[in-house]
Amino acid sequence: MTLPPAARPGVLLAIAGYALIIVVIGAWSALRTRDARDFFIAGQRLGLWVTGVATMSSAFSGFVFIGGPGLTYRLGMSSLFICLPVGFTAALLCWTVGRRLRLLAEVREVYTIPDALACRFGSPAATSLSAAAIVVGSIGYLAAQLLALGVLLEAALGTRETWGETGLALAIGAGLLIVVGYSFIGGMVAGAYTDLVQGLLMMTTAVLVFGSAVHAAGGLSQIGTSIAASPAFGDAFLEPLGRASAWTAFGLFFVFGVGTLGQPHMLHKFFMLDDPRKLRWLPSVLAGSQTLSLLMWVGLGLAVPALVAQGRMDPLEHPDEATPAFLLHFASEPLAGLAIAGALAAIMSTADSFLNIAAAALVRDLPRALGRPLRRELAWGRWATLAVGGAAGAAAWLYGDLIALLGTFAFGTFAAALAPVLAVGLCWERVHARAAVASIATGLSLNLILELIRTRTQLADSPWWPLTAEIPPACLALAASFVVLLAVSLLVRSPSHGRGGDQHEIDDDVRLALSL
Amino acid sequence: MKRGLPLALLAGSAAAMIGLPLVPHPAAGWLFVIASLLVPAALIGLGTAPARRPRALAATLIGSCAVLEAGALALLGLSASSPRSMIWHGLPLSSWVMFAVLGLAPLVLTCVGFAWLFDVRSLDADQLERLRRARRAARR
Repeated sequence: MTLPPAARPGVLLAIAGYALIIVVIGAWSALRTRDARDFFIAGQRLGLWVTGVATMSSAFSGFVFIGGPGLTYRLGMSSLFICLPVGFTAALLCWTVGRRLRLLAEVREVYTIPDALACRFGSPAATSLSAAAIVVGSIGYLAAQLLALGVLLEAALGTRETWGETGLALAIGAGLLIVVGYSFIGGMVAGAYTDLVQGLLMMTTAVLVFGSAVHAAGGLSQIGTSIAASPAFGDAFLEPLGRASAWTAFGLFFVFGVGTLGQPHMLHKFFMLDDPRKLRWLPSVLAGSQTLSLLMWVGLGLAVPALVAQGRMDPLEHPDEATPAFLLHFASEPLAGLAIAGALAAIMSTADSFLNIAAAALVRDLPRALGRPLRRELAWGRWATLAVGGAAGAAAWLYGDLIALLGTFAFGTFAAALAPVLAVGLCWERVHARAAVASIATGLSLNLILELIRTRTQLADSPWWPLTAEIPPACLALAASFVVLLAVSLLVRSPSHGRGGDQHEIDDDVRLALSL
Repeated sequence: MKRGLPLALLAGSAAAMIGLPLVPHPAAGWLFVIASLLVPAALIGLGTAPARRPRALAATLIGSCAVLEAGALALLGLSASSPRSMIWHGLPLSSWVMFAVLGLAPLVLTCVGFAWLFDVRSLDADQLERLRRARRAARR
């Protein structure tokens, strides 16, 4: 797949313009980055709109803009159960963990999720285990972003034509260079402000592409009629439970709804809000911006199959080609340029968040949990972004499967490992360090084991396997992590039992922050 | 609202989600769906307890939960009927139910509910000063 020759200059100009804006923000941010607080939480001076839009843009990534339409091409309307939870996740986040995390940052030097867990539980084991989960999940998520970036740049720049099979590696490398570059220089100040620009670009792009896609395919009624009449898609494609069972659909709804509570790249943004009272309107800003951005997924997810059904587009060899195929062949040149820049923005805004939190986990959380804090965290943080970027780039190059599968696994890893301990642990004093460790370990290991069984073995299809193969592994791992957390909290005594009755001892300032 | 009810709801729902996939009965899928949608409501209840306006919170919670459960059950019911029987603007009725009842309605309910119930008084200048005093005391 390549661009029509006439479209190249406009698209290249848009990409170059986008890269220039990002580099300028990175350089400007470098002047404002003076210490670790600036580098990791943008000096805690972001307003409501910057925080809300930056949270959206770091949450929505290549998975939504590239992988989403591809997943709909394969699964039909059933794939939308992944994005429907945005209806309640923004408020759930603020109600359950957002307010508490922000207030915790008011009383303690809290830059990261493991920092918050250290304040709450005072347990090196819980802190280091959560940091390890963050490093592993971040590299997986970052690899998915870099893969999406490579697919997009390869299509837009035509590197495959020139360089053959190494074109993808070159495209991944080019994208990696930009995102690591501005994260290395500007840290989270750069991350937050580029996230704002990228978020605005994503919303604009999504609305315009939605309109263009629906128009190109002949309107909504024509889209439905074409898909339903097509032997390749059929009625089932348009049914919410047509191509996936209730187990799969609502399992994904559960993971992507409740699992949001464990996504460090989203939670990290709460530390940056300048005034905790602004949380009141954060769900509205976050959910509104998410809904607008999801129009890209829905529009292209329906229009591309309709165009294929109408015979106006060749069937896709690979579902992940849905977005670039539409943009390169049906969108006008300015829109294609804008949309490709928007998709790049979606990918890079998530990638820089993961670089930042993984670097923080490596140079701040793990050394502190092990009792060996580093002296020059800022300098080490910059080098850690390079190391994490390199590891993720290698993983992206070696992975060789669907972007959405890698993204779902990484999301599930964070969800199962961190959501229960944060959602319940910050709200209920009875949860103690042993319960936190047991829950994180259960979520992390069970998700990995079930995923390996599902993807690498035939066990899940054998008659004696007790679970239905249709249920997403992360769904079971997340539910099990909740059960373990609650059971251990109730049945196992806290190590501090006796000092504080049957309650785990929590410092007064932390208790106050969690109870306001 | 006390923490006991949300915790019991959370524990029961999560345990059911692990156990139901082991049950080879058609109703297990429906129960799994119901349990999975109770978890967010339980977590919101847990996150807001103790609430200063328990009735308003209960109304928001019950409303959101009822909308999600009703939407899910409607979807399951509509999927069992003929998919071509009800088409509106090119899409089956079940798809519109999915967008409206599982996506848009909870969005409005929970965002408005959160802003409505957000107690600014609990984060007024005095309270924030209490937090800062607690921080200074902890440092000493």
